[in-house]
Amino acid sequence: MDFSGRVGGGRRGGGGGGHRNVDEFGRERRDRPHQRKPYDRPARGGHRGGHGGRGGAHAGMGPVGPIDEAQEIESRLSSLIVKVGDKNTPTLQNNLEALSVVLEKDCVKHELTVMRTFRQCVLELPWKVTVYSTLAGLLNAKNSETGEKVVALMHAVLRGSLAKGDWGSVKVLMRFFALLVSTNSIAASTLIGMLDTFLAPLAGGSAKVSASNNCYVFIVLSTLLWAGRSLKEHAPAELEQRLELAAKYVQAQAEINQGNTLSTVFHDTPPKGSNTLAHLLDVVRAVAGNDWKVDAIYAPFELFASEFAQAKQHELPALELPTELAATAFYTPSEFLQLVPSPSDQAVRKYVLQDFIADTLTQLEGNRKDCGKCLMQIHNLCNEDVCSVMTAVQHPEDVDPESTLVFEYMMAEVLFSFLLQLPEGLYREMYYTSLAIELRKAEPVILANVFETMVESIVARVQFIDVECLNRLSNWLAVYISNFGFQWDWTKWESAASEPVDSPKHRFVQETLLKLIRLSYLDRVRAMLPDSYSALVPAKAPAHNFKFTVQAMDERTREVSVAVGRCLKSKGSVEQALAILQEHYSKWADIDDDRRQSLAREMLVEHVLLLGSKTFSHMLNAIEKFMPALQKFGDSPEAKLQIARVTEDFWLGNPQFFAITIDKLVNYRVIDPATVIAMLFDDGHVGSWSKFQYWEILHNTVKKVNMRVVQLQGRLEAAVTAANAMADDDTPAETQPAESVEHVEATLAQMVQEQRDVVVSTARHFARLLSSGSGASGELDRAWLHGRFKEFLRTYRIQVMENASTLESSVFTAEASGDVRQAFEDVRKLSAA
Amino acid sequence: MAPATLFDDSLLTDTFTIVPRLDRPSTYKDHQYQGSTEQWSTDLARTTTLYVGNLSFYTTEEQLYEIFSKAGEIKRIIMGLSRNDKTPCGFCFVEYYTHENALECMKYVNGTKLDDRIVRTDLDPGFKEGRQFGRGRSGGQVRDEYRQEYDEGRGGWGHMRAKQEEDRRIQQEENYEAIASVPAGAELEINGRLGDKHGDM
Repeated sequence: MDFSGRVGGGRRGGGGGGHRNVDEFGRERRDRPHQRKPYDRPARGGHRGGHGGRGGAHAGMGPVGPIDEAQEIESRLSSLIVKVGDKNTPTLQNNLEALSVVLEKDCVKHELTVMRTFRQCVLELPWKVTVYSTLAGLLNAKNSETGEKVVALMHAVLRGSLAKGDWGSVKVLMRFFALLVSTNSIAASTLIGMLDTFLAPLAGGSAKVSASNNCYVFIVLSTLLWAGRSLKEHAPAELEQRLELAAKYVQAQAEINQGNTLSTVFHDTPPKGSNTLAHLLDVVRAVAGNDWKVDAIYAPFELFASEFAQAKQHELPALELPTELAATAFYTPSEFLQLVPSPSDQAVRKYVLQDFIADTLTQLEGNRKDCGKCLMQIHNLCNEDVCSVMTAVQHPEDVDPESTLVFEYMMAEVLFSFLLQLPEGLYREMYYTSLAIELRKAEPVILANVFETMVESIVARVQFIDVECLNRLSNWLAVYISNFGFQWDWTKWESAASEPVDSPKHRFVQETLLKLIRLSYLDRVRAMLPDSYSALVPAKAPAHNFKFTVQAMDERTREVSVAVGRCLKSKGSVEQALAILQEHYSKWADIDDDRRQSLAREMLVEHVLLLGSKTFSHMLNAIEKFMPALQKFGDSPEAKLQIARVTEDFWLGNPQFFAITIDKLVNYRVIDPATVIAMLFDDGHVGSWSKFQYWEILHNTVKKVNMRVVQLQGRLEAAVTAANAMADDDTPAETQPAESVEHVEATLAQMVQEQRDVVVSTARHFARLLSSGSGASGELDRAWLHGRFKEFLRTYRIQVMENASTLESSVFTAEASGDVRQAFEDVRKLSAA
Repeated sequence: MAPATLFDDSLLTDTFTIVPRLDRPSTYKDHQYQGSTEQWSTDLARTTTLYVGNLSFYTTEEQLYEIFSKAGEIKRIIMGLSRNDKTPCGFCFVEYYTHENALECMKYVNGTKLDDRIVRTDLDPGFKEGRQFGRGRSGGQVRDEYRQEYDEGRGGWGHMRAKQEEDRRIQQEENYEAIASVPAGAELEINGRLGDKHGDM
């Protein structure tokens, strides 16, 4: 791996000592300035103190003294540490030995750099754990003081990660410590002690199944996978007992989740491995059955056994589990979906490699570009014949996934597993999209094929996939396609057009096309489609549906409309517009006040929307300007609902604008979250539950309410702190008076009530529609609605459970249909687990 | 028990990474920013705004909304306009509600394509009135003043180049306008074997 630009500081073009200028994939790198960004930024931190210039600017550009020389050495040391063990080569053993000699010698002089680099290597290059644990072991064997420093530092980093709930780092570090036993740097009993910290909540064997315990057991099993070999040798009874304890928990957890399909991605097969812990336990047991041999990855420590035998073992302070983390702050391990066939006798190796891929995805989330490059490095450390690499063979199409593990497929499977993870992924969907884009940019032909295979494989199971997952895949695919010249083989899905409009495939293809249109424009998308797709794309470009031009109207309505339109167009004030409405409608003696008010409301909203129909900014301007009038007109829940419905009707031909406008009307408090819920679950939408747009709006709304609660909680905390500080301080502070605690409390209480209302009313609507014969237009329509119901329950399970008793007594009663009540039971279990 | 003094305390607090994070400020700087360099950094450390560059002149706010909302809810979009004709000139500001969303945008959206162009984003201290206009001499962005390549999405040639091209066109036009009729060519009597003799085929 060429990290020289990053860590080595600027040897590029400046006499790199015969270093070939190749990229991460061994290809010649063209030296163009624009291609150097961003990987070739000068190392930060590799240099001590404010050395700001480009690394290359040394010779002749300033005093060449001991400082520059020290920097040179340090960047070279860093570079060596980062690069060691990139590949499983015959020289790796010698390289490690040589590096440990250099580091042992230089560690005192350049300690900060060496330690810092080593620390980050363990955290950021998780697939090289065998290399770095061996290096640590060699350092320790050569000089136990240096060894002690390294071990103590990594342990302190582990404690910090644990306190923060940085589970990705905790997992990676525990694996590092597991292997330190193999290098004799820590005793088997020390590792057992560390594991026992995680197992403490399970002690007694009757542990409650919970998010935190799932997370702890996942880490313990992941560690045992790598620790088993040395523990078997030095502490077999202890190993057996810990494994037993973990297994007991896994069984209890599996029993609770028995038949719970609320978070299952595919419903075609018995959910294999959808219980991630049970699957991991199977893997660990298989490894145990093979004398605890993990043979997927090169394990250099086995070569230094005699050297390690002399090493000193270090004691470590006890670990502490975090005490104040919310249930949501715990790591939910992702199951690895099987999307392409793979040889079943290779399940353990596959797990080990996918586990490394997953850890790399997690640890390098801050830089998807380098993450992509690193992912493509992982297989370099594999033992011979463990997996095939399409990007490394001459005829990638000959690689057969059924007879060998194929690295690129395994990697793509992990990526899609993360994307489709339920109840929610670790990161935003867009991470997995832009990471896939980077991967394909690096290997345009092969990864284009790999991703296409993956998408095809998922779409082949489209009737069985969870509704939310299908939505995520559609979002992913639209952005992905739009990044590669809108090229896609649409002929494969031609049959979708002839399927019913609410069949999963038809809907998936259509929604993806709609997303593509949002990202570009209708003609662009239409131009790339076969003729058979005409039914799947709108006939007209997205446009508004202004009522007072498209409908025949009577004379007096036209008069108002013309007057209001003229007023708004000539930048008339809110008062003027209101005056016009008043002037006209007051003359309409044949209708009552309510009706007049309703007509005026509709007239104003239509015209404000028209005024703002050009762009998003125009829309914000129009709503902002007429906010007082809109708020005045929205003086009751019914009035607000009318505003929302007029908006829907106005933007009937433009779902994106519909969603954005509703969102902003809520922000400007013209309508309430409750209004949006009532509008979405309107009976008029029966038969359209398959459309993605309603659910986009539902999420926007519920998330907004939740966000407001969180923000108010933060404000309350700040207010309380400020108040306490004031109380402690005798002299009245000159600082700004903080918000009054009572005021924030009152607002928060109101907001919490609103949140409650939103959750309960949404659940009530779902239950009503799903339990009545007229809530959906047919089986397919109902399946979509039910899928969205499950999505709602699991996404907002915390809020749902906070209102469990209300929901139980008034919503999910005996009158509710069986599958509705079942889903509620499932979310209860999911929240407990 | 390993005493805490075994290694330098800074090793537990420094933010050094081998792989540079994408959500850190780049070398981007607004040349008309009024504050100090320190102020610039403090502003960026809590900003919710991004400067977005390399857009096509034809990209709409709704397209921007679609891709940028992948990183969080958008508060507003300010389209960059040509000072003279008030049409989009290839940049904008996107403002989120939270700083975290702006960082996620740097990580996940920066460098992806919109309208077949690579979108470039940078953390920005925040929109100020006047910044929506191009600063080039011709009203658009400075980069379009000097651009030598033809770029269909950004109005064709750069302004200087466009001017040169226009001058050339006008000169050509004037040249040819002077020719009132197509010349017939001189008739010469060279036994009609001119082509053969010169062999210029």
